[in-house]
Parts: sequence; C-alpha cells; structure tokens
Amino acid sequence: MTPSTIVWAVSGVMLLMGALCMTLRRQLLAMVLGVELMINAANVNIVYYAAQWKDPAGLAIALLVIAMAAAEVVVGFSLILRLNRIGVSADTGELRDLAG
Amino acid sequence: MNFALAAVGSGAALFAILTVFQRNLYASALCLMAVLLQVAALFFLLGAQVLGFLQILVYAGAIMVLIVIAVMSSPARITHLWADFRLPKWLIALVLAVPFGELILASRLGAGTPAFHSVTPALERGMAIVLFGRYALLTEIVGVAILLSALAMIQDNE
Repeated sequence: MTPSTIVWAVSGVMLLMGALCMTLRRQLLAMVLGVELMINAANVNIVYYAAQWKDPAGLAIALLVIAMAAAEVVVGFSLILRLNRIGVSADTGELRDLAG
Repeated sequence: MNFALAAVGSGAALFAILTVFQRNLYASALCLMAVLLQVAALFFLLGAQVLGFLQILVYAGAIMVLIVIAVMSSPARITHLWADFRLPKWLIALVLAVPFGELILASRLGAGTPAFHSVTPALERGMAIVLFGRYALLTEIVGVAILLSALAMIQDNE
C-alpha cells in the first residue's frame, strides 16, 4: 500500500465515524466529538498533501483549522453548559427550539 | 516505513470506531483522545513536527479538558444517563499504551527516514511566513474568532 492510500483510508474511516457520531448519537456532547473527528480527518489529508507538494500554505491552513476547531468547541460547549445551567436536557430528541 | 504509517493509521481508525460505539460518554472522550494523539503521531511521521506538537497541546490537552469539564458540569440525571465512571480497564490500558508508544515510535522514525521527513525546516519557516504574510488577515480573523469564542463562555447574570 502506498502512503496516500493509507492516509485516504484513515481519513475516510475517521470522517465516516464522525458522520455516524453526528447522526447516531443523541447527546450534544457526543455530536461535538463527531465534529472533532471529521475536522481531524480533513486535517490529516491537508497535512499529507502539504508535505507531499512541499506547500507551506497547506501547513498554515492546517494550523488555522486546528485553531478554528478549538474556537468551535469552546462555543459548542458554552451552549451545552448554558443548556445544562437552565435545566434543559442536552438530548437532541428533547430540544425543540433554541430561541430561549 | 509504510508499516509505521499503517500501524498508526489503523490505530486511529480503530479508536475512531470505538469513539462512536461507546455508550459511556467518558469512554467516548477517552477514545477521542487516543484518536487525537494518533493523528499527532501521523503528523510526526509525515514530518510536520510543529503541527504534531500543536495537535497534542491544543487538542489532546486543552480540548479534552473542556470535554471533561462539560461532562462533569452536566446535571445529575444527565450524568447518570451518560456516564457511570466504570470505564473498561482494557480501554484505559489501550488508550494509555498505544498512542504514547506510537508517538515515541513516530518521533524516532519521523526524524531519520527520508520518506516521511518530507517537511523541511525551510517549509516550516515558510509556514510562518505565509501565516503572517499572505494569510495575515486570515490569521487575524481566526484570532478574533478565538477571542469571541472565549467571550461566549462568560455567563450573563440576567
């Protein structure tokens, strides 16, 4: 197997599992974990091809993706914590509106 | 050297599958940490050491702490539904042993083999030049986004 095949297979499995986590799990926290899996799957590909093509812009984009993912997680968790604080279940089956 | 990449990659894929199919949310978070550490090992193997270190610092460090705090801050009934703290011992051992072993292996292999040492120091210098040159505006926007996301954690007292 070539390195590109391995990288594509790994990132494909991670992306698929992230999508499954988003669709199968009902807890908001688990859905955030799924998003993280998908972002990492994309990042593996970006870093691999940046290294292959000797492109510093690819590495820079991967770094920015890591930073944006951190910001996204903070926003997601602050929403979940707020839901918990006001006593609303973080179960997506029970969430009907986010209008407050 | 493909073997090292395949070993680390299959570990990442295995833990990604375990992340989805664990009923316990703590166990899911533990498996996600293993995936993140193995992605860092992949970065090391591909020669992107700086990104590997950042992956460990930001993801496996800061974000995992946030996840644990979010789970612990859940109301009692949700905590009871999500987690009972009885993590399978084999999973804990696997998460501790596999990624750290791979990280050590990757740092050794990534340093010496030309096939995976594809990111040269010049390329990483180029990354910094791109970040604060061509992509300076984008970097600023990401910085502001991180600041705004930190503000989102502040609680209003109304």
